[in-house]
Amino acid sequence: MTKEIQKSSSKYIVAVAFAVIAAALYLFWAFPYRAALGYREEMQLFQTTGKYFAELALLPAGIAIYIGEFLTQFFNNYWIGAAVMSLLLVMFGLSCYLICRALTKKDQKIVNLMLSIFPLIFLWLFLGNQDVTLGFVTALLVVTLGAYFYISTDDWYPIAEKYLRMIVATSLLYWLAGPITIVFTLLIITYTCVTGQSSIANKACLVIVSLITLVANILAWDFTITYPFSYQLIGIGYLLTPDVLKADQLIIEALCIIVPIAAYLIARGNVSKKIILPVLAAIIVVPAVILYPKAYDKATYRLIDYDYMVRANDWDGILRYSDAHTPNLPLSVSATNLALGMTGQLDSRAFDYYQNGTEGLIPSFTKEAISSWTTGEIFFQLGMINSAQRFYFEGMEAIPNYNKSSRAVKRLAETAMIRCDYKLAEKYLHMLENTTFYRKWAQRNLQQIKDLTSIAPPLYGQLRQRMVDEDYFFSEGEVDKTLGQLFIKDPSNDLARQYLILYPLLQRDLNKFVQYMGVVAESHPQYNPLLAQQALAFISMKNGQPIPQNMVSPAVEQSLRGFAQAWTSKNPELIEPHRHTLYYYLISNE
Amino acid sequence: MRRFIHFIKPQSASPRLLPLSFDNPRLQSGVAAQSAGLRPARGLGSRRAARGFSARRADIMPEPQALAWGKKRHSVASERRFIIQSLLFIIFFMLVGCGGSPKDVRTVQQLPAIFPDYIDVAVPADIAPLNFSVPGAERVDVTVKGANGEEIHTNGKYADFNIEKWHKLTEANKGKALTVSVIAKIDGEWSQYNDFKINISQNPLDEYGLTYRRIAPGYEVYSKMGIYQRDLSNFDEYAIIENTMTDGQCYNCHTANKTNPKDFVFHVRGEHGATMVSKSGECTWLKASNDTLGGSMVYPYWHPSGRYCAFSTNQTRQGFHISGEKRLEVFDLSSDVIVYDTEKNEILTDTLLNTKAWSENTPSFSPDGKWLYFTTCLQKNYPLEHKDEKYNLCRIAFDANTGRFGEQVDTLFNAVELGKSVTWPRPSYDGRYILFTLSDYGYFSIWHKESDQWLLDLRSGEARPVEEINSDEADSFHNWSDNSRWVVFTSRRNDGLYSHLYLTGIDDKGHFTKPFLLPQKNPEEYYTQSLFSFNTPDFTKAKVDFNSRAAVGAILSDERVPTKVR
Repeated sequence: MTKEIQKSSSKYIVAVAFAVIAAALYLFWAFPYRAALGYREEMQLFQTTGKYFAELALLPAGIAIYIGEFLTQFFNNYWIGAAVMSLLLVMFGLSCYLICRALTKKDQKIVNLMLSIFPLIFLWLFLGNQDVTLGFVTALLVVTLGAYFYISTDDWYPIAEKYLRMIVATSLLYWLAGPITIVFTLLIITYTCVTGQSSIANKACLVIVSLITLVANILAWDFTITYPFSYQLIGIGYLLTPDVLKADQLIIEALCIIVPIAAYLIARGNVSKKIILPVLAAIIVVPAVILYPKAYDKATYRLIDYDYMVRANDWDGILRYSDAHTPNLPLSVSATNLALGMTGQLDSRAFDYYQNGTEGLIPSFTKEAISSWTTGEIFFQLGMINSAQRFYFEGMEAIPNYNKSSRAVKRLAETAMIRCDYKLAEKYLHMLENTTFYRKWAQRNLQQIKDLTSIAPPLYGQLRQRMVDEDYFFSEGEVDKTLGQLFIKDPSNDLARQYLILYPLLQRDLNKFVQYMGVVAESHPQYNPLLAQQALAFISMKNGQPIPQNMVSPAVEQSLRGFAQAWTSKNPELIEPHRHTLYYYLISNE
Repeated sequence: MRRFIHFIKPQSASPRLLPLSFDNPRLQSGVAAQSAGLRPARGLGSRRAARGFSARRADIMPEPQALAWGKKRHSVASERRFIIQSLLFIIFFMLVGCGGSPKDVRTVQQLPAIFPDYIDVAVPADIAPLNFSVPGAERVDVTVKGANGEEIHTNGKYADFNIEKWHKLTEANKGKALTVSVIAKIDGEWSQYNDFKINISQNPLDEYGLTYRRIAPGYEVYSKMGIYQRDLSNFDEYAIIENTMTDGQCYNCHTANKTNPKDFVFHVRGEHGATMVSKSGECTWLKASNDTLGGSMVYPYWHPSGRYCAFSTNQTRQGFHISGEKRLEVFDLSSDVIVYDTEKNEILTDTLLNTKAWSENTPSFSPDGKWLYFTTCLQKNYPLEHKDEKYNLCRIAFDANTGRFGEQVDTLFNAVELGKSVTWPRPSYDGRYILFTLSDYGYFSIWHKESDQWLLDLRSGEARPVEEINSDEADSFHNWSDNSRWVVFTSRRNDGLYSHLYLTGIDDKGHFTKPFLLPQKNPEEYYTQSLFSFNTPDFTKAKVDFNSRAAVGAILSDERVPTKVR
């Protein structure tokens, strides 16, 4: 009876194990790393058109990239995205398991299962690099499944047909999955070497022909594509950065070969399960624990989280996040400041968070996608539509694998509508019409553009009204001038007002601050936020003048006096509580 | 990702907080999709039901069937034949019956709104089929009739003509007009529109096709781009060189000599910068800039002899408009015109073309090689006075035997007097005209909505705006065909941002025909989905035979030939 139960439980152990892994992976992607899904989704613009398919189909691995991008579009919704991600990973683990089983031809389920989890763990770690695309995962899955079907049906064919089969399979897989087909070739070679069905001469011939087929495919494709040879060897479309070969990629490819060989050797060696299972468990757990912090780099993922929340305009989420993690990079600081501004707290709480110059308010342009988009979002919300358009466009052009971006095209359509460039907006909207997740939004906006010809409730009217009338060139060092123009044009532009007040303070330019406060006072005479009071008190004290009681609250005056005492004491312990204040920022030059 | 991390201050490790609340419409649409994603569960149920149904059928089958094998085989064969016949009938019915033959057609007394607008255009006989669509139409049925009654017909989502039949028809109708009848199915109803004409010019194109650069109309960053050639008799496009081959370089200013790709030049910008001069297939990779020139060798134009090539040496800067219609501005801190002697590897300069107070720009040679045309503008304080950057069209004599320039500069067209600015002067190869672009200021006219094509008649000295081809959007760079009967130019008239190529013919009196958009197999899909602008187009007499792989090796090697100034 016990044996029967054991047998019965052993029957389902593989399914149960993979189901548990799938559930764990689902939770992993659906909760702490959902932003990584959003990042991958915004780095592409998958279109459901024949033209889009045809362009990719002309590349080695183009089909894998196409399927990968098709699946990545579902990352737009993280619940579905997490399911897609976990399913793909588990399918890869399962395909490794099937290969081990086909090669060992022996009942060693647990050993095969544990061995197949090993490459799965490394693939999961590799996906910690946010530039790894689902094209790579799909390609890996295609070649491992291809190898499994090849091995499991090999007995059916006579030797002459095996050559033909191998040549056709290699060529087909190279087209579908690209250079990762080497995994298939090496698995076939391994299988050929370990099976005892044909003579050594036959085996040697098959090995040589399979290698020649692989090389011939590489060379043949090299003549048809306009990419450097090295890109083809690395794999076009496996990473967003097609020029970089990651060691992790090679490790995963190697594991796809090593694991079945290990399974075969264990099966032949009749190693005791009591020894091998703990060893395998250690091999799985130890690298996962050790490599995880490096693979899922905290600093990088924080930026991805910020990027995700900026895209979703989740201002409260950003502030909660910044409360938990000190923002200290241009992107995170500027995102926090934007969130403060959008919730009307920038002119009172800016120094609750780390500040370091105007770069944290409006970062300068970098040739990189998500920084550009974050800055573009700041301009968009401020009403600097031309600059928003530029930063979104440039961010999209900076995607290293030449992809376009769903996020950027959507904002480009919006900026075009705000600028009344309706023909251009239509172009972008028609592109978005060819997508799954943006179609309805695009159609709604196309209809609104149509309706504009008869009636005129202006689209995005508020942002259009905010745009400055005077035309001049954008200057990174003088954005405050534009902030002033924005505020004068539309005194109800709260964001511009807050940015205008904070900008000179971050420059430690108190004269300019006074000047800008004067501009604000013309339309908002009662405007006297906390930062303005602190700055005014600081200026008065610095100039040896009494602090104006009617403009500075007693609490502010008290806090300044407390700071002055601490500062003059030069005692770091006394100064520390004042580190997150405007006074400290103005005086410390840190 | 690590590339964009610039640490301001050491960070402190804190526990991760999950971003949980999202109120973005994008995510709302995601939620909708999520609920759609639940549907497969019902699908599974349906499959189970289907299995159950077939199982029940098996249950009620009479047992003795196994004994009547021969009879069963016969009945299965008949059944299969019946199924196949039914399927074929259904497919036939779908293709023919509901496929799209017009029925219950109503007549509409108006011209069809087709894209591209090919109504009443004049085209060379050797042009690719003018495929078009009727935006919004589910299906179109188009018949094109020749003057002698011969016709071609197409029926589909868009008008997609057979290339061979099209050419047969156009060849038979040179100097005559084709009549196009359009019936379109919109919202389930077929409508017949008024016929329109496509005029087949007697003037041949005499060119293989076009060369152009394709690049997104961006600011500073560029993604995939390259120089391409297009066979004008069909829809085939080939890359001459793409930046995917060299890790994102920028290629520009490709120019052949009088449309003959035997002499060919282009510029490589960036890390592996160079000026490539190809003469009869032999490539020389020049240093991108010469220290004594103060700028790169750009905007080339060949001397008809093929020995010389003129360049300007622009020190280019960009400005980005904060508001208004314009997006960006290009201006030069300085610029001179030089001539490169390909035989001696020498740069020829002249004090009249190398002035400090003036910027000399956009050179071109007259077809007889005796004149060098260029534009010149009083250098101002840019970007502050960028609206005062206004160029006149001038010329200076050039002696090809000695490589010497004349001693005086003539002003051919005084744009400054009109408060305007000239750019891209391109003489027709028959020496009769100069086609140039006129805008309010500056010379980078593609970013100027107001820029238009102007024609200077060199016999009369009169210049006129070419109203028959200009549009409300930027109409900018242009080039002539070798027989001076056709012009290709860039225009942003489609959407205001993306430059597309238009072709137009010119008659003996200097009048241009209605321009037509470069044909594509499926123009609506092509131009809607393309995020590229077409730049610096030129005709090419033959297919450009350029070994791009060898070129990539040369570019990445950084081995460059230095130039010397005479």
